[in-house]
Amino acid sequence: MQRAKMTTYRNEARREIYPAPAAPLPAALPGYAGHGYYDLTPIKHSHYKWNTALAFLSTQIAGGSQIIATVADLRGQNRRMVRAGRYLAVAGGMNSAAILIAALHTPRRWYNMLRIFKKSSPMSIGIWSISPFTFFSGLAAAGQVAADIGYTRSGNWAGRAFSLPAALLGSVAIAYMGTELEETNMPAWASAYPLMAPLYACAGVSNAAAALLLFPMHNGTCGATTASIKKLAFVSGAAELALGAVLDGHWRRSAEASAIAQSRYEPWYRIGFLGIGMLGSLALRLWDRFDTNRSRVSNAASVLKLAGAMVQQTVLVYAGQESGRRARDYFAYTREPKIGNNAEHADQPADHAKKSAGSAGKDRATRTLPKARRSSSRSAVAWGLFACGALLISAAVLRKKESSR
Amino acid sequence: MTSAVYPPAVPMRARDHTESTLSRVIPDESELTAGITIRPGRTYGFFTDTSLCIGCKACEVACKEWNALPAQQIGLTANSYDHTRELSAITWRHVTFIEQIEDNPGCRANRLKPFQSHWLMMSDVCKHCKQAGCLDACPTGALFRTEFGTVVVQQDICNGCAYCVPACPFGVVEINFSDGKAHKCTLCYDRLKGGFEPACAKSCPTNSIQFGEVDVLLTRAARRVEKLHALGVDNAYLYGAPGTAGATGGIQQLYCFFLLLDRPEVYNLPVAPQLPSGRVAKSLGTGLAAVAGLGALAAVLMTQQSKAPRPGRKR
Repeated sequence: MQRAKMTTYRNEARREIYPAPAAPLPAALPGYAGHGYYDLTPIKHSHYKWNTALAFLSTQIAGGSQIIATVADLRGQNRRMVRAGRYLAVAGGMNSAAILIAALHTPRRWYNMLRIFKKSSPMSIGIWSISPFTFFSGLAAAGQVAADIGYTRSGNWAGRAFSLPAALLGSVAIAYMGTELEETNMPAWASAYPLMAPLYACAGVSNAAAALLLFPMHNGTCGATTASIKKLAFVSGAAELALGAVLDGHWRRSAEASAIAQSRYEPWYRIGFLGIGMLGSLALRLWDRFDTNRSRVSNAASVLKLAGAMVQQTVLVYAGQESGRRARDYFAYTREPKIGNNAEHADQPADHAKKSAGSAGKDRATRTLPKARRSSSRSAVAWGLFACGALLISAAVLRKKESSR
Repeated sequence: MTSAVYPPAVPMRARDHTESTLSRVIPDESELTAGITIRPGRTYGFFTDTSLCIGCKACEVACKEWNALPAQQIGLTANSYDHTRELSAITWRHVTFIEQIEDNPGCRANRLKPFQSHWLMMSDVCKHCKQAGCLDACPTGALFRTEFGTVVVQQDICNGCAYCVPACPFGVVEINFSDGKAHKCTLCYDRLKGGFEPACAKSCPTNSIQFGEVDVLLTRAARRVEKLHALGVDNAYLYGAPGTAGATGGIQQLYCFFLLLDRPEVYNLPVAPQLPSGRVAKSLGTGLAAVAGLGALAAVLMTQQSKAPRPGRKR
């Protein structure tokens, strides 16, 4: 009886999601003065730290490696690369699971996450993707071991059978992390919707490709596979760079992400991740010309990419945490239309009226937006010029190298 | 007076009355204190009328007493008379003190308005949202919806993943680092089960905190707003009632809602909070689409390489 009541209650609640916009605040109220209660933040910040960033990177490499290895296996590519991908997947999966368990505040109860599945919780989705991913990756790696010690046919068959579900779960594992950050109330993360999940997905593939290219077994023995992975690393890296640059522009022009755009994290994100990690590694990949052999240039590109990825994860985790400490960022985030039918918020008519009237009382967030937009345009142009310059220099170097041959 | 020996943790005043003077618990005590009978299956909440709050902090003290919560901090914050700062894992009721002195800003005031009208006070608490971000985010099921419609953390299930903390749009739930679990207001779940009114509402001397069935409270609150408007208080409005500020972004309704007299930000409340879990499917879908695209690209690249072998390729 009680269960039936609760089910009815839950269904009723679900049906009414996203109701009509809120009623306007009374006209007698003054406009937003740009500050809250003694500048104390109205929300609690996230408790993620560097170990979460490391776990994210490890999951990306693991998930991406399994996907690449599975595709390579299905396309009949070199077995050494498939082997490397499978071993890297299981090692990365176990590593990230161990780090994430250690990051809990009560680690001995980690298994409580496996007692239920919630599609409304990105963390639940993450746990239910990483755990079976690691399990199936372990079985696929065991099949690979069997193949390596002489049971070639049965080992390869088992490896392929278990790597297919592992690759599917790995896809969820590398995409859910962006969702996990986005679906919170940390202004810098939440305002990045819907770019964070594709960014993490691209990063997963490009980081895994970079990690696989560092394995010594490619040298001369699986040239065609190496070349195709280099191309994959380049394309996925370019997509990641584009998404990262778009996010950078968004954060700079919005009033919700001062923790990234106007803090000590900004140079790390722009120079460390976008500049050295992404543009640097992409330029080196061009220089390498997707050669069939492993080379120092390719290795340098991979190292730069992975170092930039660690910087990216760390900056995103800490900047998101910092944004939770900034009351103005949160008030800016909760004053703008975001999703569903809540496109118009209570105080917008009053604010717009004040803005058009140009009254002295208009709020700080709306007053700074045009300047931020101008700055963002300049930033986009600067980034575009920088990218074009880097590509032109790379092309010139390539041509010179070609002519010298 | 008893001569029993107590451990040092038992405070002196608790040693004075070791046994109840009543022979038994009063059944359905809430009928006497709040005028309602508490029954499972109904939805209960608070209506906090800030126009009546005098900032006595009786609710804070009652909450800490009943739930055996320690003091937040010992020290002065310089934030008016507010030294608890915010809701936390060990402060489930928090009284905000907002001094609205426009005279001589930034310095000691020279002239004050009459009748203490430069004060705004509000007793903040967990909102027990109809669609709760913390509840949706919890991966262990430690947070659950009770038979009274409230949201409660089960500390014996919680593993301290802390994902509920950034998911709450009001900054209510927080990790207690001494035990590694999430904590927040339970709307006195234990008292409700025993037929008692929550401790904070029972202790409120001005009836600023009113406990009851949510539908009844909404009607009462609407009448109160009308009455205040009739008295000339045009800036009175409801925060968290259906269709008002605070009940936005998929949250739908706050079972603990407020009557406010200034902008929500002044009370450290967001105008249009968002329920993060409403976008999970879309967000994950875009990520999976990106993975699928790159996987297809990998397949194409490897097919091309298979068809056109290069020098140095060995199988």
